Amino acid sequence: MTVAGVNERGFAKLKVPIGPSHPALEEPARFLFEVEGEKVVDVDYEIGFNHRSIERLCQERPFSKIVYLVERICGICSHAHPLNHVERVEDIADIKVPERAKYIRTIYAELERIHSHMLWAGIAGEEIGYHTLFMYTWREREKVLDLFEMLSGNRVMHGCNTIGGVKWNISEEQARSAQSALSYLDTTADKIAKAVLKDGSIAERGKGIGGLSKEDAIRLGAVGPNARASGVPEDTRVMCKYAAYGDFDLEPQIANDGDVVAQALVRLAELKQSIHLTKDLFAALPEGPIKVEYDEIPPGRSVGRVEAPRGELIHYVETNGSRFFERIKIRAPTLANIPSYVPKFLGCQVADIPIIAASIDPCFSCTDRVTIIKGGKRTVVSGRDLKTGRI
Amino acid sequence: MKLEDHINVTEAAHKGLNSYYRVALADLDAALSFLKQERARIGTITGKDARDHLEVLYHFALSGELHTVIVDLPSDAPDVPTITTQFEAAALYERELIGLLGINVIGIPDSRPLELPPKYDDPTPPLRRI
Repeated sequence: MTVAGVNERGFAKLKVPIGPSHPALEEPARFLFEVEGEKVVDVDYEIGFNHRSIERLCQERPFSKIVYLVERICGICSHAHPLNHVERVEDIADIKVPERAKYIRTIYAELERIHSHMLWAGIAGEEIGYHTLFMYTWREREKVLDLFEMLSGNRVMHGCNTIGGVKWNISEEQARSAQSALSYLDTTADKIAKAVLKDGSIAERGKGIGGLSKEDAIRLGAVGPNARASGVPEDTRVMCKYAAYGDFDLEPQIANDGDVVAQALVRLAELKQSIHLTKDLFAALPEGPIKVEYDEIPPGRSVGRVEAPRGELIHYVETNGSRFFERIKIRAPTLANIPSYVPKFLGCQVADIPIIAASIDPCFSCTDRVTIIKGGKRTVVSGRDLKTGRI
Repeated sequence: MKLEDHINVTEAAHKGLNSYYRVALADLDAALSFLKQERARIGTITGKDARDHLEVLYHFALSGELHTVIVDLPSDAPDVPTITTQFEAAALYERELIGLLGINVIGIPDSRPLELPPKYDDPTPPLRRI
């Protein structure tokens, strides 16, 4: 903490660093707040503490391995990234994916949104001292992870997507079990909504905290639930109708003011919406193959968006006819949402920093090197190694 | 919406929800002004080392469509004007271009590299081919 100056009333302006280790959540980002007393008057941010050079690695590996690599960009959006990636490659190669595969992809995408929004509700509760909510939502979230385990064999890395379709089929018995679990989760979502939205202390604690106007959300390029909480009616599922979303009528869930309460309103409404949509998807699951074969990937380019739980996720893929990608570019939703932190933090109290930081559901992920463990031996790969391909 | 009906483009391609336009650097500002007028939103910016030159691809979201404006830059003098004057949200994406590809973004208010550590001292940016 350093003294930045003195204000007109003779009080010291202090600079308070928060992060990069665990700034309210278990992800690395550094904020430098300038405060007058308890009031935040300026903020700067720094990211990149976990940059992994994944875009570079994507150019150094044969394309058959990249689906696995992009799946590991995020431990929560572990379906959204490979979904966008395979859709881009399929667009380049004009691969027609079977309808059943599109539905299965959409089921995984919605289950991912359900568990991610429940995770957010728990973290938001934790940040304001409502530990019971954290314990409750995270316990119930386990049901979604159990569903993932039943469907794919894994709780986090599902390995579902492959170019041309999906790898794991869904049996009738699995669909029946999933419907039963989703009915349970539907009741749970009502309980969570009641615990959050009917609680007077949460309303007092979150109303007006971390607000963001619709104009600022548009100006700063906010995406996903963060933008929708400020009244921007943009939802990539509705606008782009990728996977099986074109077969269902969805309305973007919006709120006003962008404050903590609005963020909760949007995510809890989306939680219910996703549970109902997933039930509909299981009920309408078409028969047929889950994968088509393809010959080769021709030179071409494709850019596209999917709605990850945190918002619009962009992948740009360019191929050159070889076994390697020419360029892969990934824009995760949190990068688009970071600039909206500035108006959210300005004027807030120091005690509100953790809940505002957590309210946009951030996921910082970027780094300068990667550690490889092979045969028990650890090696740190430098930027030069990445460029020369010596790994 | 087709940009080639309104702006000088050297190459245009359309497929599904995607459109790609290659424009001369001198025409970039006019292209961006038109997209701004159409209420497009900057989605992200991709920098690419195309071996004999560099490419910058500006991806704009317009409802469900994505419009990509591509400019070519020489590898030895990769100067491109900032677009933050028209699209403030592009600031972080331009900082990525500076750090990961060594592109000079002229006029950007904050030019600190975004992701690289302060001690990254390799003269070749990470996404340049060698």
